[in-house]
Order: sequence, then structure tokens, then C-alpha cells
Amino acid sequence: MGGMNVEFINPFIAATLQALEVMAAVRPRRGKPFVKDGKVAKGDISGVIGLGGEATGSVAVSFPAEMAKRIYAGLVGQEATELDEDVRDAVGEIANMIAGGAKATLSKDGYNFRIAIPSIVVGQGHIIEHKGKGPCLVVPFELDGDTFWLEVSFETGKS
Amino acid sequence: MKILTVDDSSTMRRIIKNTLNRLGYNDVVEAEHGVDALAKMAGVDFVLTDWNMPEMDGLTFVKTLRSNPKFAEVPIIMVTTEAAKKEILEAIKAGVTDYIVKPFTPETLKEKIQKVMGG
Repeated sequence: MGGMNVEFINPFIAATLQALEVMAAVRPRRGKPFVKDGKVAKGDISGVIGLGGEATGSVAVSFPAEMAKRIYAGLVGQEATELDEDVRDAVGEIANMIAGGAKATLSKDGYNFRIAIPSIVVGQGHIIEHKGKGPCLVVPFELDGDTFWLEVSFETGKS
Repeated sequence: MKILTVDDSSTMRRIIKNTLNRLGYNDVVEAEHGVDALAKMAGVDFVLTDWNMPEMDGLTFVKTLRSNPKFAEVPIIMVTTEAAKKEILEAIKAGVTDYIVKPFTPETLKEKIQKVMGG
């Protein structure tokens, strides 16, 4: 029997904090998770990764434009002026590290899944298509007075 | 010393290249995936490769290198988000010299490179 269990969000939250702290030297503060209503992302740029195998779903991280540029600068030590190819790539790599970190934790609990190659969506009010059939949980994170969002749709049980 | 860094993420290639440059290694070649990397192996002394990539993944790339006597001894560090024990063991079996899990600090990358280079 598959289904969404809110505890699955925790490894994704931990991996988000770790990826940003270790690679970009920023320390976001997590807020209270809520169930996503609709498909529109809150950020200007999102990295999305599909998960498949014994557990299915997808994970997305959605940043306001300025924050994405700041994180890019933290990662590579160079300023970005727009959401160009480099910033898009950096957001995809953060999504990759979130999915990978969560996978390592969840595999210890017996939930094995594969991570797909990240895709990037840019633009105000863009849509994120999640793979899971169940609800999508959103976790807001505060960083320097601004907010970014982690979205997780995760179901156990084979697809 | 010619070093090849293989990753489909330009961000990750830049981070690795910056670290290598700081360590004094300036002859760094970049490749986006395994197929690209195989075409750039001539004269390469040391390889850093991602796992999940399009065209040819890092595991297949490592196995292909190890099956060629010319590259059987080239040090290879896998730098990947794949952090589960099963995957690490699979990479070691395929022939990687060492393994770094993303996210990593510049210090970790530096230590692993120096260890593999025997410095």
C-alpha cells in the first residue's frame, strides 16, 4: 500500500540545509510545511528532479531570482547578473544534491529509488509538474529576509 | 599533470576546477559526460567524474576506462550525490580509486585529491 507520509519530508529538509550550508555557505531557516495547492511555483527559478523505482515522486527547489544569483555566487565565487545558463545549472545541481542526500537517508530505511537528471524551469508563476499522484508538501525556508521553497511529492510503493 | 573533470553540471566543473587551480594544477580538461570524457583521455593523468550524467554515466565510463590497459592504473575519484552504501560499493567494484559525496567542502576535495596524488 503506497501513500504519502509526512516523515519523508525530513530527509529532504536536512539535505537542503546541508547542500546550501556546505556548498554555498548560507544558513537558511526552515518554516512550517504545508500542502501545495495547484501547480504554480512561488519562486522565479526552480530545479526539478524525478524519483523512480521502489518509491516514486519528485522534488523541486524554487528560488526568487536574487537569491538564486546569490547562491550561484556562493557556489562558484563569481557574481551573476541574470538567470543565465550558469545560474540555471547551479539551481539544478542544488536540486541534485537535495535528491541525492535524501536518497542516502531513505535508502537506509529500505526505500530505494533512482534520481533522474534535473530540469530547470524559469519565469514568474511557472508550473512545476510533480510525478507523484499524492499531495505535494511545500517547506518554506527563510534566508536573509527572503523565502525559497522546497516541494516534495513522495510515495512509497512501486509505480 | 593533466587532470580531466567530468560532470554534466558546469557549476560543479567550475567548483572542481577552481579547487584544482588553487592547489596548483592548471592543466584541467573538462568533459560533460562519459562519451565526451573518453574522447578527451589522451595524456590524462588523473580523473574526477560524476556518476549521473546523460549519454554515458560515470559508472560506465569508469568500467570502460578500467577495461582498457592504457587507463587501468589512472587514478579516478568519483564525485557524486550518490551516497548510499550500495552505490559506493558498486563504484569501488567498478574501479574508482576514491569517492567524494556531494555536497563537499573545498577541504574535503583538497584532501582526497592530495591523498590520491600521493601528496
